[in-house]
Amino acid sequence: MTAAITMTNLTKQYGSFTALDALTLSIPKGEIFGFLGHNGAGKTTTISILTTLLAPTSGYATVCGCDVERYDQEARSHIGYVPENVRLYEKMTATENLLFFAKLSGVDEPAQRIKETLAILDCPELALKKVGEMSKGQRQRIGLAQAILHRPEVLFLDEPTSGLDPLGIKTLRDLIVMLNREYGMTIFMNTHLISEISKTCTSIAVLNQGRLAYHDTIEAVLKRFRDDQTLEDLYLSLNAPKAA
Amino acid sequence: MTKAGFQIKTITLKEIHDAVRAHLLTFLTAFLVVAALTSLTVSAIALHAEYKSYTEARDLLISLGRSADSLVPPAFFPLRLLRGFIEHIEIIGAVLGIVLGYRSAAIERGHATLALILTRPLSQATFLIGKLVGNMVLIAIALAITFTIGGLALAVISGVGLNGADVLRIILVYVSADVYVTSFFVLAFILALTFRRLLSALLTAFSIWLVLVLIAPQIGDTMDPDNQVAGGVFRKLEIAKPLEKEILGSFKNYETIRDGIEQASPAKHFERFSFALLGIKDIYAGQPITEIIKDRLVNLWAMLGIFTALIALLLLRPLNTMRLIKE
Amino acid sequence: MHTPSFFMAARLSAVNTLKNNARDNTLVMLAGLFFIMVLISAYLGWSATATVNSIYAKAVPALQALGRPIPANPVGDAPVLSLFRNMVPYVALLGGLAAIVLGHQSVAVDRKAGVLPLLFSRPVSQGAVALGKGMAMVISIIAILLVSGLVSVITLLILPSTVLNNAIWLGILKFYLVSGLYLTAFGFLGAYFASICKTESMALLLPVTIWLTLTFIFPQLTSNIGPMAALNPLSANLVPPTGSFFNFTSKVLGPFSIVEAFRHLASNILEVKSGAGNAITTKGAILSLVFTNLAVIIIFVISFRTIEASRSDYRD
Repeated sequence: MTAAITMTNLTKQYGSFTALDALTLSIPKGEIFGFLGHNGAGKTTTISILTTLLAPTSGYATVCGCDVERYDQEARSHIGYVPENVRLYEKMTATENLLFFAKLSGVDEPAQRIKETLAILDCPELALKKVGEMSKGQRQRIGLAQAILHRPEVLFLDEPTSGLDPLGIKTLRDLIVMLNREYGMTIFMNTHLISEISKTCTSIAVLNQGRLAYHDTIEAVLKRFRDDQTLEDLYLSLNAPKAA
Repeated sequence: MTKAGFQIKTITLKEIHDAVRAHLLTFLTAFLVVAALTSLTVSAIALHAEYKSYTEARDLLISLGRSADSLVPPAFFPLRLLRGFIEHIEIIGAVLGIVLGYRSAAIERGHATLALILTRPLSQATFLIGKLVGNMVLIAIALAITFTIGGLALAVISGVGLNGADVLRIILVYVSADVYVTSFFVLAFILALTFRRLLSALLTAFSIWLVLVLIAPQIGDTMDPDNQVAGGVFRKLEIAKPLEKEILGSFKNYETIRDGIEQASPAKHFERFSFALLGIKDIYAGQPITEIIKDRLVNLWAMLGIFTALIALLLLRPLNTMRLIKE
Repeated sequence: MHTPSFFMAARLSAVNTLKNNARDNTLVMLAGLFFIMVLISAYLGWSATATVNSIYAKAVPALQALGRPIPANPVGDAPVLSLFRNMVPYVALLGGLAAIVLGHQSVAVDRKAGVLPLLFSRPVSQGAVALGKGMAMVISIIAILLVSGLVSVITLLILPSTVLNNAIWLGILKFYLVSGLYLTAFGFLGAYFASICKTESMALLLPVTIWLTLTFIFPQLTSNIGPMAALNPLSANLVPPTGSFFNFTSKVLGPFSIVEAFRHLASNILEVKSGAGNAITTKGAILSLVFTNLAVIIIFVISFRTIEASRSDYRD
């Protein structure tokens, strides 16, 4: 199976601090990939590089076969991105926000596409509501909407469940699974909600202080570590601070 | 020390500590010093050039066997070189006050610490007084640095030492500058604690500064007919002072309106008070300090009045804490 | 689906920026303030001239009674356009500040909304988005100048005893073109600092400091015009002091002194009478404004293209 995302010796340094250390990973198409790690492990740095927002110090990465540095604009035509605590233009309505982003993504018939997307995400009632007046969960849906307007091949989600209540988390999980199954989107998801991993992801990797500590399919993980409790132990042991 | 006193001291010291660590205060003080020194230097150079022209003209007349009595040598009063210096304090000093006032509020709102502070066992007045005192100290330090450097530069540039009376005049101007700049601090602080959006507060403060410090004096200046003709209208028409006074007598209402617009500007009050004390205005050159202060009491009261009114507004208005949470 | 072209992306960026700016009360307030200043300027111009005429009317019989010769009325043949001479300091002051704010807002609106990660993860170039921001800012400035221009035209039409001709209309047009060139320079300066600064307050204060320097310190260094005297429209045409210092400073600082350049050009267009010419030439002033615009446009586009989108929020 061809890879949707590849990373080869991807490194990012900020001065003397190494945020990412020679990360090498390949994510096949059609996966829902969970990227775990403690705060400051380098997850957001990884997503920033893959979404062309940040240049790596060394190494390279491809998205849908496009080098994210050399062919960044082409790479961006294949992706959708939902940052952590996604922000939009507060004084504009959901439709106005989505219209703007749809046009920038080159969507044909953006008005129709917005209607369809809001229907997919089960929030058509938000169309004329100002973003500034929305709840956190509602903003998250519109944030997701802007990312899938152009039906990208790869969807990047940075801590998508951050700040959501249990119902919101379940709803988002169902949406992610639906987008993967019905639209064939490869999902790359940063998270540290271990309970969601087994319910959503098809493969996972664990990042520890910028280095890849573990990578396997979810079936293999669940076979080897039989229940969530143990999965948490796995995560915690992999994320233990390195000895000096 | 009382509990409130201790709380005020804590807030004051934190305010000073924060401002010293931030770049803004240093940057603005340095800018003020550079502007003031530039003005001093340029004034001295221009005066030197004027004196050089005078001596050349005088020597030429004498060499032609003619009397040089009709030539008037340029008057040299060292403190008059501070004219541009005072005008820069008027303009840039007010900006310093606005920036400090805005920052003092923004730093709490931006970090959402305002809610944390005001849910402590201290009164709103205690918090505000602490902020006010802290920033008054900062303004006093910034202006002290500027005036000290300016005073020393004046002594060096003019080549004339400053006597005790000169130093006292400069100190009095320094104190009035403190009152003037602090008024703008309080204005910006009030606005930044009132507007929902901090940017709106900053822009409103700058708009008020523009109108009160620059536009109002400019309107007053423009309405002065003497400023509408290069060299002055009365000089152009070769009209002597007595006739000038007689003609201006019939423009009393116009002059009242013009003066009223200038009086609305705190900058103009500061300028008139300072120019009088420093002898920049001709009629006050060489006058004793007490006489000048008596004559310019209206300016002194205006500055103190504005200052007091703003502080009263700050302390008496209740803060709408929920509205001030980070935007 | 099609990737938007460079200019399509710029257009989208411009339209979106304009939409956001239009919903901002602060900008409406600045535009309103500018409008009021134009009105005040027109009134002042007329009132000051009328006052000098009244003084002259009173002086003539008094001088005749003294047997003195009657000099010509210094404002007797004042050009019609000189009525707007107070627009020169107002455009320099209020216009400069307004332009900085407009330029600042064109970039800050996105940084404060936190949408740059969404924008820059689109298949459009940051250069196109920057161009759109610039276009939005220029359009906003043009809109403000159009309103001011309309007020000026209406004022001329309703003022008594003013003879209007093509030269006057051309003069008004030239004045606003020069004003536009002056304001866009400060607009792009505001946009540049909005792109590079980590805090919003510094993003505003740095261009304001530059504006203060150009408005009050440079005229003093090059022409010994004091800060408050710089506000008088007549000061633009005073003969500068002589001497090697001022010759040197005029040569070195003159090309960068865009406020003086603007005042020189605007005063000449409005036919403000002067005692003599000054060190700035018309050609030099135009070149100064044009090159300043080019320079700030370039540094703005470069700075915007290198914004790190993932850390683009202001810290305050």
